[in-house]
Amino acid sequence: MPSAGLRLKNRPLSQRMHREKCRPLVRLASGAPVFANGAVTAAMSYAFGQIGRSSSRRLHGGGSATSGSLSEDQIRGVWQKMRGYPEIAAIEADKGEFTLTVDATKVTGYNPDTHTINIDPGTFGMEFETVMHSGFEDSIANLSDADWFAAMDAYPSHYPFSAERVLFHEALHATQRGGGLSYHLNRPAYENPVISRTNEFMFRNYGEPFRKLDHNAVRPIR
Amino acid sequence: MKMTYTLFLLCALMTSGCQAAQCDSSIVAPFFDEPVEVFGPFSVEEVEQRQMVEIVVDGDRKMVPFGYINESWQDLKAQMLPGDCLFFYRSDDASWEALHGREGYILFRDNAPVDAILTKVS
Repeated sequence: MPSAGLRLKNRPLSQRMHREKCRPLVRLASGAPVFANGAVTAAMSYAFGQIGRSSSRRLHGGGSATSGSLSEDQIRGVWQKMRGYPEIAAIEADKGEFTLTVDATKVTGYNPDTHTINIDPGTFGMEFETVMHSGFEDSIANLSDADWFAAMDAYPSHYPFSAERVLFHEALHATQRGGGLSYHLNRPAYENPVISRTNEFMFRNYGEPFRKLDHNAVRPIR
Repeated sequence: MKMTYTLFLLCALMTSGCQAAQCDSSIVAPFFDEPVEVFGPFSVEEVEQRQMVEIVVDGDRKMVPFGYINESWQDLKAQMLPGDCLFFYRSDDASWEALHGREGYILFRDNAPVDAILTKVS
């Protein structure tokens, strides 16, 4: 069985050009994430449109939500589930148990002074611009040519924010307390590491596409 | 006694005026890589009043400036020299809508940022 790289090399020129066209979008992660088998399956699923806005059952907000469609109880339910992941458990072990508030009159974010995450449910009416990443490309490398093209074409350009993504993202900010002056003055210094780690977590556990590091690539769901 | 009081008042006014002249908030925003609103300058006492929050310490509820990050605040305060300026900054509304907002206090000395403490991030 040839390696994924060899398979790609052996593809016709048109396919390699297609891949090269996508390649500039790939360079965001610091090393490929480690993927569980289920994540690859999930990635394949959304690549083929099986996880779309109307069909997502695993995620809350992303895929199926419309603006304001998540109740406080639902968000709290997701948070309880998130606390079971080792990543969140480790933060709580180090920094203490988070307080979660759901308040549409306040912005979504993390307050380090009270160790509180606030969620504005309106956040789930937004979607982010995606990027293709090496983990996804590797997961489809051995497909037939037709399926490979279909997977590439089906990769979504934008994807709704899920409760899982937003909660994980905000919780990671708790690990950045302090951070030095550049953390304040330079947006990429504090946001990009969080987006990258969240991308890896969300792909590994939920098969979500990677979010583009450019934070302005966010818009209301269309 | 009256003379001493007058002198004290004069000194206080001069110090305050001097600090206000040194602490020009318009110098702050250009140091950021995106638009921010800037408020202040604030005195240490003003900041501690603004940032007083209730936290739980060893099972007891306490009002503490900057709550769980009080230690960072103490570190920042310890660096302060006469003439330093404390400002509050907040990234613009668009940044919060796009989930990359941040706000906090930033310490300036000789028109340059020295240290900062974050109070909210999205």
